[in-house]
Amino acid sequence: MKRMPAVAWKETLHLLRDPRSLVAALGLPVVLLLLYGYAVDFDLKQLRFVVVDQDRTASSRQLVELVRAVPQLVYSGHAETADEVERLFAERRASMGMILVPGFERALKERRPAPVQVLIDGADGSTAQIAQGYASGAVLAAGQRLIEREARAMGVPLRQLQSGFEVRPRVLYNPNLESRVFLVPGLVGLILVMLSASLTSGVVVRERERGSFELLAASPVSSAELIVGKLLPYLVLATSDVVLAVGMGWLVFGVVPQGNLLLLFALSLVFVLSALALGLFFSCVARTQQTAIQLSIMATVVPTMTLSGFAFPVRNMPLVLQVLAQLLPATHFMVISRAIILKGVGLAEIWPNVLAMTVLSLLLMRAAVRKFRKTL
Amino acid sequence: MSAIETCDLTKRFGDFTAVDRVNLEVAPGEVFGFLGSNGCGKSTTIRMLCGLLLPSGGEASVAGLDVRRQAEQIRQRVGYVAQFFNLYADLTVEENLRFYGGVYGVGADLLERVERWIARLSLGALRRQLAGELSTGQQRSLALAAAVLHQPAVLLLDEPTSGVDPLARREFFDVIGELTAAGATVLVTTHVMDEAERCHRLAIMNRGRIITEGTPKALKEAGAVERWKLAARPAAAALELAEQQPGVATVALFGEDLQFTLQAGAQPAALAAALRAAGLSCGEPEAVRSTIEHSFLELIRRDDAAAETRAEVRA
Repeated sequence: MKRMPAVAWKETLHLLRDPRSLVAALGLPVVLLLLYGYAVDFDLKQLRFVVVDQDRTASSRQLVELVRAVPQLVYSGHAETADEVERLFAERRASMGMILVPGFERALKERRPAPVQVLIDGADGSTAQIAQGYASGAVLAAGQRLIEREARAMGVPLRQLQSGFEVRPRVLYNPNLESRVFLVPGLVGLILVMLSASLTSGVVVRERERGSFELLAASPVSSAELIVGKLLPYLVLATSDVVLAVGMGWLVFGVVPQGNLLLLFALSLVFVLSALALGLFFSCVARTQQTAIQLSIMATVVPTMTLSGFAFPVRNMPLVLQVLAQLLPATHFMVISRAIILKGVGLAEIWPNVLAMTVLSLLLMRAAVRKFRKTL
Repeated sequence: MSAIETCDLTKRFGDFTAVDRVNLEVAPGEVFGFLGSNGCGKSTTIRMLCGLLLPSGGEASVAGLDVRRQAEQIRQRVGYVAQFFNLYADLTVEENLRFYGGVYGVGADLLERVERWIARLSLGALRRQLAGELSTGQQRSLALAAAVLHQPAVLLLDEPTSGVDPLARREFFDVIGELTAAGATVLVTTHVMDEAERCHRLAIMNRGRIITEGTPKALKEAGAVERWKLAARPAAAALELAEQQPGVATVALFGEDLQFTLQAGAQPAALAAALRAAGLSCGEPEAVRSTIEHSFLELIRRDDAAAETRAEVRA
């Protein structure tokens, strides 16, 4: 490894001489976070809802009145059935529905749980996440006021009616939203994949295009020294991206990391290795830098955005895709990142994902090293 | 022991034999020149010698090490300057040299050696210049410096001076002289004839094979043919007529003059007479001093002619 520092230093110089890659490495996380962050915020101010009142009683009408009074919910009419609500979702004319089934008032009067179903358009995962909590909260608050009125009208103490109300939120298209804010932890993974794969996709093919690869091949430098030396600067860069993304999530969006940040950084490194390996692999395969970049983006960014659970929960996917998703290091990193940042858990809870991700990273790295040796 | 030795060294790419049973022996301290036109197999031979290509057949050893089995050790003992500029254009002169010193494992005295070679190759004023901004000659100097930092026993130079002006070329060969005086062996490919004359020995390569080898003097004599020049106007018409003149073996235009060689028994004055008879103004033929370039072209011509004859016989 005595020749490795020369390689790492040279690769760093390339990075510093080409401001575009540095700007991409440090600017992209900022842009992505702001983009995703504010797009979500904008959508929530316009939560339009429709009502299906099948109970048609004084109580049900009162609840509708109370919900309509919530300023952030925009009332956009009545519907007859749940199917009709679904159709309105598809036409994007509403993104929330409140269904009062027959027997609502009777249940309330008989002090049984009175069911209120809240439907949320889950097509946009990150919006639905917040919309669901928001709508449920609003309906619950309205229900609370309704119960207070009923109690006053019936002349009974409030706590006797307290248990008599139940909101059943259901998210259509995407029913299993789990964490509060999954945007930031997911973006950390996406950013890492984008940068690592696209930056390293150049490291071999660029030298081949310039002809400098021949001199490297004629020198006594070993492939291990070359690989470590070439990847080291990008590893450092990727780590600073994790810090940047987590820091921005914290300062700009108020996502306070709950867990051990050192653990998160360490596991990010393992994850980054898998993306670096893919970049390196395609750099050995491709004939031009452009092809290498396109191939590695196809192989990393696209599956990360669609399959890893970044936007759509894995468990809602068809079985084939679920299996495929398990083969992506990004899928495991999404779980790990959310678990550490949002839930604050440690290794004890996430070790299966850590293990799977590590194994996948090592396998990918092995394939890349083999390909690299052959190229040399 | 020879510094470079090959025995029937062969490289095939599919059906094409790029290097065909090449036998070479280069002694330590020797400057050995490899002559030949583009695509004759020089570069492929060099790439096999520095371990970049595996031979398809035959044996080769460099600095006493086998190219098949000891490629790793060979790399440490060989310096290689490739045909095209392939240092890092976005790194400075100094950074390039430090990098190559680093990958060749030069230790504590790396900076000292870099300084020595920057001074020797007059790169001092350019040390902070990006390599991509240098002139071709400066780039070749830099490539040479990068190749010798680790004090290789054998230096393989693949057309190190293509695109370099004569002055810089002379400096290049002065450095090569110093290196061999210090014990290094140099194998250099070229098609520049004044460089060929500075080699101790030469081999001429044509269509993958070495067709002849010897000292520059010996090769010059081997290919020497009586050669004449003749001033005739208009030159284009004179060339056309001369090509059809019986007894003329080869003819070409050099500047404003015709240069020609004759078949056995033919007289130079006969061509002058024929041109005058055709109404052209024409001087007297003069003998031309034969250069190594003439000999080189003649030797290649003979080899091509022999190959054609062989092909016809087979057909």
